[in-house]
Parts: sequence; structure tokens; C-alpha cells
Amino acid sequence: MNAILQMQNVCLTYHTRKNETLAVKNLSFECYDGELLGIVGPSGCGKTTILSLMSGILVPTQGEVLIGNQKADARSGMTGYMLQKDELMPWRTILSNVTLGLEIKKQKTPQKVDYAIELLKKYNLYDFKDFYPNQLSGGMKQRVALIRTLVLEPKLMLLDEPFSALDFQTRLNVVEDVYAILKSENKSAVFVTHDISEAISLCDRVIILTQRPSQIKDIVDLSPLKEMSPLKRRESAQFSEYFDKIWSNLQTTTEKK
Amino acid sequence: MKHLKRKNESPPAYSAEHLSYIKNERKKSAVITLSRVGLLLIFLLLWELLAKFNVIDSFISSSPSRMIDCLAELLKGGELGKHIGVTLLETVVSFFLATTLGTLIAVILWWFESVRRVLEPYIVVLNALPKIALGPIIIIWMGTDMSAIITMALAISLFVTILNTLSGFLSVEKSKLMLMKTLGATKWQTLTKLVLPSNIPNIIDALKINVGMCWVGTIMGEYLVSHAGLGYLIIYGGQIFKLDLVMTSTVILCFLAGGMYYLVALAQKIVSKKLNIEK
Repeated sequence: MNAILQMQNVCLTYHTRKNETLAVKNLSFECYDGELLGIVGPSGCGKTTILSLMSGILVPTQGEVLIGNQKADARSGMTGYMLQKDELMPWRTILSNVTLGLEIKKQKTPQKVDYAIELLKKYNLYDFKDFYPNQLSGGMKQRVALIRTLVLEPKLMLLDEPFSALDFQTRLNVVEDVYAILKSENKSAVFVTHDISEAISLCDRVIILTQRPSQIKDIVDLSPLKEMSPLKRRESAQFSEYFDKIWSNLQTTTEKK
Repeated sequence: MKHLKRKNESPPAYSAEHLSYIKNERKKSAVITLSRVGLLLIFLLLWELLAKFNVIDSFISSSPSRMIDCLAELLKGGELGKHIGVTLLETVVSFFLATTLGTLIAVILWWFESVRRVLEPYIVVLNALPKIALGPIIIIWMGTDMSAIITMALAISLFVTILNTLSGFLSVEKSKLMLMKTLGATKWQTLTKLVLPSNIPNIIDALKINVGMCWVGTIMGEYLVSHAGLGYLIIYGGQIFKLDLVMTSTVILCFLAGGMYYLVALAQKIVSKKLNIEK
């Protein structure tokens, strides 16, 4: 299988006036084409930092981050970043929020706008295209945010706890939706979370990180669950088995502190 | 995805309870409006009566009827329009200058962090300085015409505008800035697509403050140097001990300042509605 993302011995050091912090140390792993790769770790282990490295917002101090054999670069459009909150601009309509990325990348051609409209139609948001974000529910807004990312046709999606700001009920539904959307658009994605059950219900493979400086503690293969949707996975017999495995792994990383 | 249903706009079929609630609310606001008008009327009536029966000295305190006479006299003389015009012009010009210059400078300070860090203490000190102290300098530098008055008004309103607008620019949500970064936005795009639009409510609030500041500056400027204007009338009336003139000019000033504030508030309403800003 081809790797869309390669992290090769990546290190990152943060500098502030008072201190320097080694946030990521010798991190190496891949994300394969069409794979949903989960990353879980104790809070403050630098998960967002890792996504920023993949998106090219941060440049590694050592090592290399390759997206489809090119160095990660925020302007390349290879990656699409989905943040914790929807971050829709309240003064823009849904359609104009969805095309914000196109405007910024100067790609707002009629074809691309048509593609945006097609995506809105496909995911039942077309009727709301002239609405403003405050008229939509939290779950709908998060799907709009996902479409804003998809419109740019990134090769790799980066999801930074995109469900954590939603209430539980909405969250289960949105996870289901996002899973369906990512699968039907055949996207590869890296999904960062501190929620173990969310990682199991969404991902094909889960990487467990240690406390800072982030290193790989363990990798859990979830391919036996591959054909199941998130809700089905939550009901499956193996779910608690995987949960315990990841949880005990995380426990030992936290205790080591 | 059937859990995502369109929010229904249900037809307005109100209960009797709701109708009586609405009626009650309407009654409350009617009482408030009546009280507002009543307060003014009682005040004017009391003033007039106390002056008429010599409880207060109308030479010092004037009275509503004397003010009406004074207004009629001013209108007959044909000078009033000129005085109002001069003051309005000075205020409006300084208002527009302060707003545009202030916003422009704030944008520059937002853009260049090191310039901001260098200039910050100067702006803070200039903002804290009582601008009336600059009076003599302004007169000597700008002369005794309208430009001196506009400079004074500008001195009073500009630094507040810069500081308020800049702090709005700097308090744009970090996560929204992150979004712009992830989309690969340039600084110019971040400014035009995020920082400026998200600060429109802030800028309009600054306008509201500016209206008041520019009136202060204009009248203060007219106290210092002027040949015409409402501030001139007030100072002149004070010097010749003609309190009727002072009071009448002050009341006219009240109406003008209130009217201008109302216009800005109206603009705010229209813009907020257009940009879907909830206030």
C-alpha cells in the first residue's frame, strides 16, 4: 500500500523566552492511502502540534514530513485541516463559508463552486446555503466545516478533535456522518483525539502516544472492524476489548510521569 | 442523515396567556415613553414657574420662555444657521478624519508588530494627556481658523479610536486565525477576510464614542479660538452675561449631538442587519 503521509524521525522544539520544550521526539509513522489513522494520547502530549506539522504550519526542527512524497506546505493544498470548532464566519452565508478556502487559494472557479454546491446537496445542506451559521445546529455547522475542507480536494484530511465541542447526542450522529462522508469521498485522514471510544469507532488503526515529548507507545490495528460503521462498532463485542487495550496503554504512559 | 431536519417556522398561533403577556409588555413600554416625556415637561414647567415667581433669578438661570424669545431673535438675525453650520462642519470633518485615520493607523499597527511595540507607549501617553493642554500649541501652529478647531477635535478623538480599534484587531479569536493559517491565507487575506469583517461591530462602537469625542473637541476648540459656531455663541453669551444665549445654544447643541448619535446608531442597525451581526 502507498503511504500518503510519511513522518520520518520528526523532532520539534518550541522556544519561548523562558524555556525550550521538546514537543515531539523522533516520531516516525505512515498513513496509507484511504486509511483513517487515529492518534490518541494523554492531554498535552502535543497532538495538535503533530497535526500542525503535517499541515505544514509548523516546520520540524529535525526529520521530515512528507505528504505524497512532497514536503508538507500549508499553501500546497495537499492537506485539509478540520478544527475543534466549526469556525464558520458568522457574517458569511453557508455557501460563502464553504467557498472561503477557494477564495483564499484563488480557485473560486464556476466548476469548483459547482462542486461545493454538489457536496452541499449530497450531504443535505443545500436548502441552507443562504442561511447564516447561527441558524444551524452544532452538528450541521460541523458538517459545513467538513465540506469547506473537502471542497479544496485535499489528499489528506487532518481532524483535530472535531467532535469535542458537540454535545453527546449530536456527537454520535456527526461521527457517523463524518465517517460516511470520508469513506464515500475515499479520503485518507489523520484523526487526533483524547476520546478512546471515538478513535475506535472511526479509525482503521490507532497510534498511542506517550507524554511529551511525544513518542509512539503502541499501535493498535482495528482492521477487523473495517466494514462496520461507528455506531455498529460501539455495539460490537470487540469494542470493549480494544477499549481496554488502548486504555491500559494510556494508563501506563500517564503513570510514567 | 434523517436526524437533521429543517427548523420549522411554525405558524403564529398564540395562546391567550401569550397575548396578555404581549399586552402587558406594550403597556410597560408605553408607561416608560410617557414618563420620559413627562419628566421633561415637568422640568420645563417647574423651571418656568420658579423663574416667573422669582424664586430663582432668571437673569442667571434664564427660563424656557426667555430661551424661546432668544431663539426667535437669533432666527430673525439670520446668524443662527451660520453658527450651526460651522459647528456641524467642524464636527463632521473631524469625525470622518478621526475614524478613517484611526482605523488606518490601527491596521498599520496590527500589520507591523515591531512598529506597534515601538509606538505603543507613545500612543498611551498621548491618549492619557489632557488634550486641552495642547491648546496654545495648536493655535500657534494652526492659526485661529477652522483648522485649529478640527485639529483639537482630532487630537481628542484619534488616539481613543486607534487604541479601541487596535485592541479589537488583536482580540480576534486565535482559533479563527488558525483556520486562516490552515487554509494558507496571506496576511492581506487574513486582514480583509477575517480581522476587518469580524471587527465591524467594534469599529461602529468606536464611531459612537467618536461622535461624542468630536463634539467635545469642536466645542473646546471653539472656546479657544473661533469667530463663529455654537461654542463661540456659548462663550460669547457667558462673557456678556447673556444666559439666555448660553442656554439656548446649549439646547441646540443637545439636539445636534443627539441627532448625530442617532444617525450613527441607525447606521449600526443597518450594517448589523446586513452582515448578520447579533447585538
